[in-house]
Amino acid sequence: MEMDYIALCRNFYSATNIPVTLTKNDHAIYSSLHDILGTTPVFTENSSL
Amino acid sequence: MNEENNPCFCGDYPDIEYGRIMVEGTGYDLILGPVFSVPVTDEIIRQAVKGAAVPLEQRELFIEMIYAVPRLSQTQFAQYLALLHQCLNHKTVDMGKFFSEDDLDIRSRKEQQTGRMAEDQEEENTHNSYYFELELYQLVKEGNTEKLKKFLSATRPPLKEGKMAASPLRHAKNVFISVVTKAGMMGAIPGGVDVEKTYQLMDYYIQECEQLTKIERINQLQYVMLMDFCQRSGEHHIPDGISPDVYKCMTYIREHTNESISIEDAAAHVNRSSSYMMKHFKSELGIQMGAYIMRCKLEEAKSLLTYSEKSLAEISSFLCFSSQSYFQNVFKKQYGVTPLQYRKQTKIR
Repeated sequence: MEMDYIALCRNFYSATNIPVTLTKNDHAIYSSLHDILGTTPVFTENSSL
Repeated sequence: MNEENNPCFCGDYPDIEYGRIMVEGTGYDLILGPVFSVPVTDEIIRQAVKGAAVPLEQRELFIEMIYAVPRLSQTQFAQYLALLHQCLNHKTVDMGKFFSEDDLDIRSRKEQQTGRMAEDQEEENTHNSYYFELELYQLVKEGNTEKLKKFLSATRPPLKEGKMAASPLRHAKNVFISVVTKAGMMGAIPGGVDVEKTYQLMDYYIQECEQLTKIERINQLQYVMLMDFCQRSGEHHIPDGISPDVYKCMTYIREHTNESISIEDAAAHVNRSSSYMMKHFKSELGIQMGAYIMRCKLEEAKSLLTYSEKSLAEISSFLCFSSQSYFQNVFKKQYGVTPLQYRKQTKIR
């Protein structure tokens, strides 16, 4: 079972206040920045950073 | 990015750090940042807003978020990268890899340095200020301003300080930064000045120096700074006839004028009873402890009246007086003038 990387990024940001961006194959799929700014959905699998 | 340089620092802005961790074999990458190792300035905010292409309507929220980002040294940031790398890839990181240069760079620098050292020696560009500096910072530490004045005005062979920048003005500023740092670390702190206060003063002097555009003014500021540190060290020397307990209490009171401190607080600071401290205060200083606390608050008030723009209400509240009118009354009783009259008399225009 694959690790929930988005949850990991969210937890890391809430614990440290250091913004995190997660990409897969160079496409952004999560960013604390967008999470905080309230732009949902944050990124799609195909959007680029 | 490959496994060899995983994790790594990345990013193009000089004041903003980013880091990248590749989750090996998955296609996932984590990018941490922005983080800052320097205080966040308007310029940094501008760069961050630009870098993240934040829409106008979201800028305020974004800036709020930037201010919430902790200030981290590069080493601390590297530790976060290493921690996540260990969690995600189960590999430890040699912290040295973040900062080390490759062997070719090190070798090239050493060759350059050796060549320049030989040239400097040939041209007699050598430093001769070591013993002068040792004596200078010792005098700052001793806190005797008269002795320091004499030392600074004594005739001696010219000091050679080495070249610290390409332009004379930058060179003078770099020398100043080096002198203020040494005066703080080797003079003021060992002389008893509070560590935090010394660091703050060093910052303020460096910022003031950065604003200057004439070497002459930098030299003046250097003289003023050395005398200031020396005077502050002198204030922290235990005068004859004062016991360490009373002296520690005096220092505690002086450093907590902006709190509502009691005799009990000051006595507890030196692990003594209030009655013991009150007795020794009176016998060694000839003043009641409560009166000394009030005097320190009023001295601080004088300084704020002269050097700040704070209103009477602000000063009174800052120094924890029960009311502004009480502050005005005790001030008038002690100095014979009201705080406002005192401000008018002493204000530097």
